[in-house]
Amino acid sequence: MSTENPDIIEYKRILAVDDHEMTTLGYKYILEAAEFDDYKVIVDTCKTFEDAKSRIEQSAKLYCYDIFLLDIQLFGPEEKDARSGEDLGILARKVAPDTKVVFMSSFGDAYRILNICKTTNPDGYLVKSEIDKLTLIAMVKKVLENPPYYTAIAMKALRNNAAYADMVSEQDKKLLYYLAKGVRVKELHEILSVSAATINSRKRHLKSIFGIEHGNDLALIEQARERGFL
Amino acid sequence: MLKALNMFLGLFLYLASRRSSMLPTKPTYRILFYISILALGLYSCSRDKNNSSTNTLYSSEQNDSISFWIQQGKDSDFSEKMQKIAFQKAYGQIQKISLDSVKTKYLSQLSLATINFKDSLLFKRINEETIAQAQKTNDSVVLAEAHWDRAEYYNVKAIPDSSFYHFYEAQKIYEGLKNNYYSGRMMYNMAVSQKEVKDFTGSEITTIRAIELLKPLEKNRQLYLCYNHLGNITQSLKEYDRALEYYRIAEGYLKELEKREGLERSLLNNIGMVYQSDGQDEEAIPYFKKVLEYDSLRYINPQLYAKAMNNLAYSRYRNGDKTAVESQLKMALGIQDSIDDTADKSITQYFLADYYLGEKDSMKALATARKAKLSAELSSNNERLLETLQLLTRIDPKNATGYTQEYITLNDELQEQERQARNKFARIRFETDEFIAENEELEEEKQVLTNQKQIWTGLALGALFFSVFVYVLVDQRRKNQRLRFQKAQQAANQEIFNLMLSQQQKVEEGKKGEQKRISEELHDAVLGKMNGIRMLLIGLGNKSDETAIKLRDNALEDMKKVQDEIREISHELSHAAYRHIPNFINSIQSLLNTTEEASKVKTTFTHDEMVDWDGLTGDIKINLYRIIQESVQNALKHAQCKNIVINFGITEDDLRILVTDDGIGFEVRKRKKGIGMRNISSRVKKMNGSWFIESKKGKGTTLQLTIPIEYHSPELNEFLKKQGIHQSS
Repeated sequence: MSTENPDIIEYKRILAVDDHEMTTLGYKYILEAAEFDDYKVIVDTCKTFEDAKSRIEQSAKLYCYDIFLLDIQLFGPEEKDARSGEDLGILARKVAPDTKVVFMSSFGDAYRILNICKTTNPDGYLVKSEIDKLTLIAMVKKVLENPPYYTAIAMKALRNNAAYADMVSEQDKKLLYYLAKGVRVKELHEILSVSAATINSRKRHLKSIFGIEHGNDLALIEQARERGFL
Repeated sequence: MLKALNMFLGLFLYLASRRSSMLPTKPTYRILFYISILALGLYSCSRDKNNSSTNTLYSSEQNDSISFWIQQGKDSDFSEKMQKIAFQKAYGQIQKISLDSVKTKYLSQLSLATINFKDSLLFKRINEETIAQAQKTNDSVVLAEAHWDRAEYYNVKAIPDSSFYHFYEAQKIYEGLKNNYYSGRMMYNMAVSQKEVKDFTGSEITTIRAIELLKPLEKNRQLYLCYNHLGNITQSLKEYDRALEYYRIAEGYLKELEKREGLERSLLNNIGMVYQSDGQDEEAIPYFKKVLEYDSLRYINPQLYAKAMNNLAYSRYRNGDKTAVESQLKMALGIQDSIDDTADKSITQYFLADYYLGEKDSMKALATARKAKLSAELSSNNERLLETLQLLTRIDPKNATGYTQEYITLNDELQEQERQARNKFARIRFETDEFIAENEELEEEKQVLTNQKQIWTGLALGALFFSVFVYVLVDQRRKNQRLRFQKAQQAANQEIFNLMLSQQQKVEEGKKGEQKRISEELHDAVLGKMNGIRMLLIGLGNKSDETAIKLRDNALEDMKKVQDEIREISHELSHAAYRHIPNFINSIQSLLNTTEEASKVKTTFTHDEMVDWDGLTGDIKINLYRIIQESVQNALKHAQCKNIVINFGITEDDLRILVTDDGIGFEVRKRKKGIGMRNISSRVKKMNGSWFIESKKGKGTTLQLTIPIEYHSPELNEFLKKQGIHQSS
């Protein structure tokens, strides 16, 4: 269609949400100045959760956004507010299923990434430290044409998890979860209703999977966290 | 010479057997006796060969001089003077013996040997010494023998009371020794002495007692003597039937004996005399005849022979057979004259006088009767004398009054004497019994003393056992106490260890929380801002319009903020790293925090950083912890306070703990100690510390503890380190 009428310029609308205004401004300047083949990009910025929420809800009725760029951490640590970009993502998926959802977070840990992937199945995930001009442009292109888009760190986290997913059972995950909570082996076998010997052997198994045969439980938990099991 | 020697040998053997049978337990005595016998044997042999006394007198001196001298002394072949010298030599030798038991033994021998020696003084001296020696050495056997010897001596001397006394003494000792045979024999001897003074009843009783003792032993000879004696007594009592009965029994025992000739004859004579006294002269005659029929009796026992002849003649005469009565009586008198038997002579003369009286030959009768009286007087046969006096009144009616007077006086006198003697016997017996009783008393006292000794020994032993028992018990208790103490110590350590462990966890959590906070701060504030700046700068690119310039300024401003924030975080981190919070202090702090949370009371806790609080012994830590817990609780419960101030300080050597509240306070003196206070008291005591409470109504309360500092051993430190509790890092 666009090729048929070169005079009419198509605009792609993007909503960037981040509590740091500078970040969104950065995105705006970069993307609006970028040269795309068939369209131009307009970036709206938004720095609070409430604002973002209402805009997402409006998006369905008024003008439709093509992409939501969501930061995850929207409140400072002192605010102790549990709401996050993740909630916005879930909302967006519900009210505007056609709009692409991309997370732009400083979180690079596999667990967080995997968790978000599970809840919202985003069209992209970018770790902030990896973002630059080219990445942003590439992301927009990929997401609009052939999602998903992942930056290198996010990709690695996902792949890592996928590689071990078959080897780590649900029971193992529970075990890791309780271990990380600080439950002792003595109590653990009661919770999981298996023998203490079994627990020890599972732990050995997990350690060998994660390549830390001689590491302690702490190392095990760290590794599990890295691989997205926690 | 040889004959006498053999007789003497026989006597000695008899004596030896008598002694040795009584000394079965003392082999040395036996051996000495055998040596004596051997010596004697040698001596007699040598006499057979040499027939020389002087030669041997000294030759065997070296072997056994005392025994030898005693033998010499007893040898009646020697002159009296020689005998006396021998005895005195023996006595002299004995005096030299220092060993009491041996001395006693020889004295006893010598005492026996000298009984019949004419110099009675020598015997008495020896005998007295023997008795003293026996008493000294407590040798009751020798003592009994000595008394026996003495009694025999008096018996020969016809002093019945003294004789009785010594027999009695001997008898008591034998009785004490449970020697029934000798006891019985002494009894018999006593009975004989009693009969001498006409204490017939007493004598009878004693004899029967002797029989009771001897019968079970089947000592036929002694039994014969006893029954014979009974016969004599009952004959004197004119109970002829009983006398005959006793004699028959005596005859029965006699038949059991092997050697009995002499005894049999005198028994026959006795039986005859019973019949004669009973007036049954016809019955009596055959007995006397039988006595006389014994072969060569006249030479073996002329006394008996004369007696029997006398009796026979008299019985025949009374029985109407006057043939050769006078000649027979005269013959008997002749024999008695020849053997100087004055006692029997008086009887014969009495019979002869009676015969003459019957034949109406009053002149002869009177003359003979007077002779009889003289003989009776000479032999101090008072019975005979009385009868003779009676006879004289009949023969010589003119002087009848005088004779009767004499008779009555004598009779009275005799009766008096006899009574006195009998009394004396009774007294002897009584005194001896008393003495024995006294002895028994002494014995009893001794027994009591021994008992007391035993009791004391028992008590001492008991006390010893008891003290050993107590010692063991106390020791055991002490050990147990130590063990309990160690256990309590261990428990305290365990408790504080657990406390520390949970505290450690809390600290770890706190650390983690802090780390998390810092990381979040970095992440959100710093990273976010940095990212934003970066993004903006990228976005602005080369733009140089007004907006761009303003945004760049903003970015720079933000950069500065980031810088400040990083500095701040860095400061916080370094502070956290360098600040050391000991576990124990932490525990107290968290205890106070909990208190604060649960109540509206504000707590302030300070501690001296110079003390290694974690290094204190588990005992101090746990007790201190509990005391703080207790006192804080007390403050909350009773004081209605708003503030509690706790200070852990240090003096020179002690920990000084102060717990102060600003509550209502109380009168320390009036207040009774509750469980809480008592707990504090016992805990402080465990730590060897001291404490006091200062309080007044409305002016708050201060608890002050002073505890000697005591750090636990390095081993425990090591252990705790291994367990992951780093006390002082």
